[in-house]
Amino acid sequence: MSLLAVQGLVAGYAGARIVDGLDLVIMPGEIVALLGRNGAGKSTAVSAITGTLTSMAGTVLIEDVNVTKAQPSRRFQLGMRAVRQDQPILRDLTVAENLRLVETSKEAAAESFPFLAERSSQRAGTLSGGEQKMLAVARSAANPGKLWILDEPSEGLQPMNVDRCAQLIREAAVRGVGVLLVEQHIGMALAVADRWLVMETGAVIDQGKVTANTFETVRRRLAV
Amino acid sequence: MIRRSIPLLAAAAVPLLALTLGGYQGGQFAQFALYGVATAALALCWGFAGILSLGHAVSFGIGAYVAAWFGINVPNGGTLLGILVGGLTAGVVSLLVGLVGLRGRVNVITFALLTFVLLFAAIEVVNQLTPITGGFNGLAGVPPLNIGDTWTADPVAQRVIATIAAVCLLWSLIVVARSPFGGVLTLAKTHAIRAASSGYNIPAFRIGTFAFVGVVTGLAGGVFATQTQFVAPDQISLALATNFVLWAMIGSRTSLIGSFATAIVISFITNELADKFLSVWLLAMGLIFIAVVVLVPDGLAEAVLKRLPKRWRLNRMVELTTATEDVSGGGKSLEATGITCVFGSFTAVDDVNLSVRAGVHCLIGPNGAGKSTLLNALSGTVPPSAGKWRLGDTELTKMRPWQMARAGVARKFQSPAVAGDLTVAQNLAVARLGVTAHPVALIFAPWRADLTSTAWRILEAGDLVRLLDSPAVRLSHGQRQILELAMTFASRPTLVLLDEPTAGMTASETSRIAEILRTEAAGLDIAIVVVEHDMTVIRSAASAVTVLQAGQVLATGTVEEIENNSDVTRAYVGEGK
Repeated sequence: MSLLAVQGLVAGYAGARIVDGLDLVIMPGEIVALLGRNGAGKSTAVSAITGTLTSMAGTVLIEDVNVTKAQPSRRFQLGMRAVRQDQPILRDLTVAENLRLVETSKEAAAESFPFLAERSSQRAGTLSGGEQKMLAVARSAANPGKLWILDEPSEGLQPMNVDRCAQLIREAAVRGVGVLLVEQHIGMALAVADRWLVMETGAVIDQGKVTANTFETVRRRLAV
Repeated sequence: MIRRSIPLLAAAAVPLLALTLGGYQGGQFAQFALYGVATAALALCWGFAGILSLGHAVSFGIGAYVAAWFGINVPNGGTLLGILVGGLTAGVVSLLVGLVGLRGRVNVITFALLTFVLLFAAIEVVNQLTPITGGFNGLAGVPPLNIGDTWTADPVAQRVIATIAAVCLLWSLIVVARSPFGGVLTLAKTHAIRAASSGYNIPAFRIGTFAFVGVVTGLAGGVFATQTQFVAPDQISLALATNFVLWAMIGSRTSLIGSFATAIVISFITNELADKFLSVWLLAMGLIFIAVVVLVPDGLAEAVLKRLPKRWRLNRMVELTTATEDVSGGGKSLEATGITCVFGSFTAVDDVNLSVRAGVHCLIGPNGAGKSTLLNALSGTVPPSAGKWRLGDTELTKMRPWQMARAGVARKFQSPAVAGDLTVAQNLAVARLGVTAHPVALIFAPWRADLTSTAWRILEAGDLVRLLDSPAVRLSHGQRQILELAMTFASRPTLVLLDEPTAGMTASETSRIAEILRTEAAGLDIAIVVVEHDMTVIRSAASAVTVLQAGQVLATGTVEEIENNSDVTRAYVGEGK
């Protein structure tokens, strides 16, 4: 049984079909990299899959439960977790409070990102852009549910922290979590992913298993 | 041709309507059109500049009372003089309120409450200053406008004059809203710092707009007094102030014509139903308001516009050209000494010295090293606690962001700051005009701008040229990055500060942008400081690299020197890379 099955998904804003017939499947323990140029519809697809945007057509199933019309909270109950692009942290709370809300400790989070322990009493909104991203990823990694969706987790991170972020994703997959990873950093995405999809004008135009040649194939696909 | 004449026909139709409606209703229509002007003025403030006034009736009431007082007490043409003085007085009061409440960062709620308090103060003044205002009784016997012996006594002529005045006032508001000046207000509504970094003194724009809106509302109030020939405390009341807000909300605060029309229609309905079903009607109004907030939060006009076919939308086209010559930046260098930024007990940037020559100078370092803070300090958006810096011979230390922009400093922010309500081309034009145009000239300027060839190259690299007429709200995150980068290069800067310009871009876009930055820095002889994590960008574009760690300079040198520096590798890239 697939964790996530998306069929013929159509979504967009003000009548524009930004996602137009998207199909994708994620199995438990599998990391799927969703790649594509700017404006291809990746973030809109994430919004429609996570339920923050109402889809116009198509179906979204979580473990065969139809959640196409369901609220984000219902999808959360079924095990879907998401880290959106706009750094979903509680800006007015401290770092430690942000972590406590997802029932994790600063010590556990600091294993990936040590600064989270050192600066635990700082207000999260005053962290730098990259630090806020890491806090968001660490918060989500503490409880990635069954199906973990990340929209550009590596954006704005220094190389060392990109690696740590990749490590967190791998660890989750080893525990059986299915991961949908939206990335511009192809190197990072293909280093962790089992399968890749390339989106263009709202639909998947190419896909495959990650092999030694994938990087070149994908790069050529995106450069056209 | 037909579409172009629609606004003219519509403008002529309003006074004609006043003429054709019967005696009583025609008079009502003229009065409601003046309410409509005040509502549209509020919409300009609220929907475009992002400033909500809960005491908008103050300007209207001042205009009405001053016009009435002059009309009664000054013989021979006192009414006209009174209208003008009333508009001016309302403008001065608004200017003073703006000077108190609109300097620096503006909190919409705080300012709304300030105007709310002002409303109660004004109501109190009207009630207490009985010798001048007539107290509860108001001022009766306001003479009509003197428009010649035959016409002065004719209510129909008075009514037509009043509606023509209303249309002219509405037109002046529309001119401001649709001009590049209105574009600046729209950008500043969501991204005030971005607008400031494009060369606009935003507090002055907001205060000026608020004062202008005060003048227009005051003039509308004055003309209103000549129509009713009687001014009462109703004209400066809580009920009227609330109505202005409701009408603008229902009609669309981003549509001046929508606000204008809604004020007239609702006033008419209220008036018709007032005698028979007043309480039921007030309840219905409340329900309509709630329905609008829930179903069409942007208001009726926006809801209608959204459903119109594209060719019926009167979208302002922007004429973008290419600047004829690329002037050399003259190789000015940035010299910064002792830059220190302290927040409470945390020192984010600690005594940093930075020397940047023409070329691409990359600023790298671990997350939280203080890179963005340093850029904020150098661009004046968050002034540092200590330190001095200069660009060539120009001292930048005490400059505000808009002054820096005019001195040739351009800035791109970490999360892309573009105005979603404007089109891509409008965003670019607003960014381009800030450095050269005078704010008042922007009101009358056409939507036309000459972009540098650099900006065009960036737009082409990001495939945005085909989207110039799309609203920026439709762009993806990465496309907004491209747009804001092009906005940064829209005019000719001599120092460019870029905070992670390629975040969210694809690998191929990133390498194209890196190539553009490298060649343009060399070709134009300008300094570009780039905060960047992508080593491919650094390798292909950087002529110098400075590494920050914990707020201090860890190393500075060429790309090769930095890559071979073991301290940098340990702190930044990680072991074994």
